[in-house]
Formats: sequence, C-alpha cells, structure tokens
Amino acid sequence: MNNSEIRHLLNKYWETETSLEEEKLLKQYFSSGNVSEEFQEYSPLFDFYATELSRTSELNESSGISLLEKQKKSNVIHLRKAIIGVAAAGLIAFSVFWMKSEVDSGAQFANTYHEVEDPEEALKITKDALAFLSINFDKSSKKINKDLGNIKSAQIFK
Amino acid sequence: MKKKFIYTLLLAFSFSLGNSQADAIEKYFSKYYDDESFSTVYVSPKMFQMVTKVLGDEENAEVKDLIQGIKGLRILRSETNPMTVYKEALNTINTREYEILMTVRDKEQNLQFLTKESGDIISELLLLAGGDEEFIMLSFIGNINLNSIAKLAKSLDIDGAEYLEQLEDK
Amino acid sequence: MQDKEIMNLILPFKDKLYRFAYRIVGNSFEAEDIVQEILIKVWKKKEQFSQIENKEAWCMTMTRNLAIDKKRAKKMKTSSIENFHHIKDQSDTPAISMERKETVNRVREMINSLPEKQASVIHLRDIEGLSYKEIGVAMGLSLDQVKVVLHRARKALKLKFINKKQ
Repeated sequence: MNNSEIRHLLNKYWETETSLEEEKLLKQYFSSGNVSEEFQEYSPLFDFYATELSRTSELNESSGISLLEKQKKSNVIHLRKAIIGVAAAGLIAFSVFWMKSEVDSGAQFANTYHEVEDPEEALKITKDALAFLSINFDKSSKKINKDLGNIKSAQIFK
Repeated sequence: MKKKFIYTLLLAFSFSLGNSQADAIEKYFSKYYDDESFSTVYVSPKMFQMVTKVLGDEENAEVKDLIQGIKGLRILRSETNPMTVYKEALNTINTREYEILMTVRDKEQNLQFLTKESGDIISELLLLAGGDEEFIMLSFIGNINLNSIAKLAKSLDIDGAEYLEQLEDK
Repeated sequence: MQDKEIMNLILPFKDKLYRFAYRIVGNSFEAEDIVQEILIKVWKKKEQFSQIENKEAWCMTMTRNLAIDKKRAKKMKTSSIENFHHIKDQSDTPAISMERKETVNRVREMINSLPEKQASVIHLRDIEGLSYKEIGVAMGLSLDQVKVVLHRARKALKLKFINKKQ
C-alpha cells in the first residue's frame, strides 16, 4: 500500500469510520517492519495492540478440570460443615439447636450434585448425618412426650 | 435352621431394597439436582459396602450398628426459601407410601420424620427439617433401627464434648 | 454438562478473557485468577450456561464485572502491594526488547488514562477485533453507544499522540 492509502485509512481510523477489514490492513501495515517516516509516530500504538494480543492465559484442559475437582470437594466440605454446625449446636443445648452454624454465612456455599467416591469421606458424612438424625429424633420424641403429658394434666384439672 | 433361612431371606431382601429402589429424594426431588440453590450429596450402596470396611474398632457401637444397616444415604439442602421448600416437600411425598412417624412444629424449626416399611423393618427413613435459614432432607435407605438411633442420641450426649472437639479440628 | 465439555467451551476464548481482565486489573496474577473464577462460575451455572447463545460475550461481561470489582477492592490496599505487582509484572510481558517495551508501556498508560468504558471498548475493538455488535453485547451497550464511546476514545487517544509529539 502507498502512503496516501495509509493516510486515508488512518484518518478514517481516527474518525471511527474504518471497518474491521480496514483495521486489519492497518495492523498488517504497521507490523510489516516497513513503516514510512510519516506514520512512525503511530507505530507504538499498533505495536501495543499486537503485543497485547500475544498475551495468553495459563489455563489448559487439565488445570481447569483439576480446578473443578477441587471445587467439588469444597462443596462437600461446605455441606458437611452445615450439617455438623447444626448438629454440634444441638449437642450443646437443644434450646439453641437451630441457631445458625458457623458456616461462612452461605456466601461461599456452592451448590451441586455430588456422589461421594471416597469411603473415608462417606463415613464422615454418614456419621454427621446420623448425629443430626439422632439428635433431632431424641429432641422430637421428648417434645412429643412432654406435650402428651400436658394434655393429660389438663384433663385432670377439668 | 428355620431362623437362619429367614435371616438370609431378610438380608437378601434388604440388599435388593438398597440396590433397586429409588429413595424419596431421587423419586420426588431429582429435579433439584441441577438447581443451583440446592446441594445434594449421595452415598451409594456400593460405597456403603466399602464404608463398613473402613469402620474402626474405636467407633461408637451404635454408629457401627447403624452404619452396617445402611445401604444408601442422600442429603438435599437449600438455603433459598427454606420454609416454602419444606412445605412443598411435605406435600410432594406420598403418605400412602411413607408413613409419618413424628411431626414437630415450633418457632425455630419444623421437623417431620417419615418411614417406609417392609414388614416390620424400616426400609427407608426420611427426615425433613425446615427453618428460617435452611431446608435439609435426609434419606437413609437400608435397615434402620429406631432404638439404635435413640441410643445414639444418648451416647452423643455423653460423648458430646469429645465429638465437638473432633469437629473443630476439621 | 461434563467438566470436559465445559473446558472445551471455555478454552477457545480463555485468552480473550484473560487479556480483557488484564486490561482492567493490570497484572497477570489477578487476570489469571479471574479466568479461573469465570470457569467456576460457568461450572456452577452450567445448566443455565448451556442455554446461553453467545457464551463468549456472556463470559466477557462476567470478566469485566469481576475485574472492575477486583480493581475497586485493590484500591483499598496499600500502594506497596501495587508497586510489587507492577515490578513483578514487567518480567512477564511478552518477550520484546527493552526499548519496545517502554514505548508499548507508554501507550498502555495512555489507554489506561482514558475512562474505563472507553479503554475497554478500544481494547475489544483494536486488540481483539470484535464487531460493534459483539462489543455491545459484552459491554451491555447499544450499537450506537458503542460507536459513540469508540469515537470519543479514538479522538482522545489521537489527542494524546499529538500532545506527546509537541
């Protein structure tokens, strides 16, 4: 391309009238290594565009998949924490049973479907679930017995 | 001899339960698996066979008993509109199939225990809990002994402090 | 959607996300972090994501939002950390001569001194070569708005070159 063509394209460029095709021509011209003195001042700009385009992320298939695997594990830990938190509070005092567990305010609580594939992890989860179940079971049966007792005493008063 | 035969039959029966039948969460709530406001954790019958192998001698006797009877565990949890989800869940579960064992309503939370029975044996135990902050549903498949569950609560009460300490390490 | 499928969807434009994040936060550590966060976000919302028609634009929008948040949060931190990032990051610019590096950095400063919206539009158009329509989707702007912002940005940039010369 001759200088007048480039001049024309550059003017169009500054006026935001160039098409993507024309912008590509400009980029090609400035990367050709044969830039006329007249346009030298804009070389750094197109040089910058080209340099930036060569930046790449380190993410690849295997690093991405292992990141997702890690994320899944932490989901289970969050769920475990939620159950444990509730169960632990129940162990201290039933009256504060449903008080919120120390789970980090749910903000990070990730959600997904997860099938446990590690026996140790499965054992931990099962124990937590059993603790949760039995504490609630005990609490509920006590409450029901107490309520039944109240009904009986009310009838006696009649 | 006859007794032995019945045991074998029972064992075979409970295995088939664990393997073939869908639990209540799978049956009624699998639509939530993809819902981002729910989390689900599933421990399969196959995994439970492996769990019994990693059970240590030091384990609480009730826990051991219970785990040996369990064939599957599924947990569903959500923090989004927990009370609405709780009520919806109660309405969804077929009460001809699942018998209500206990219902507790109070200020902080609502609980419902449901069981599915095969003969005299509880083959699935469901616990639904709904409060202001979260909804949790647990489904235990297998042979669930309610006495062991009651006993476990008492032993946890005693071991409570110790259990708590263990938890805090994690 | 399997993890692998998600990766296959993201990988073709991961560098584009990275560069856009880099443009805003100005260092490779945080830019890389943002790309990872996007991946996790996509994975968490994979059902929703699979329905999205223009996945790349959606990710670009998320990248911009995350990067702007990060930059805002960073402003709260001490300047010493910023300096550290700055120094550290020089080593990781693409392999070019010191002299070129300097002129390139001067252009970067010029563009970064523009309002964020203008700088982002310049980036998407002149580095990534996106169409006005694509830029609009990624930035949440109408076609006309994209043209106006780009026009202002190039005008301002030209002025900076003229001033530099004098």
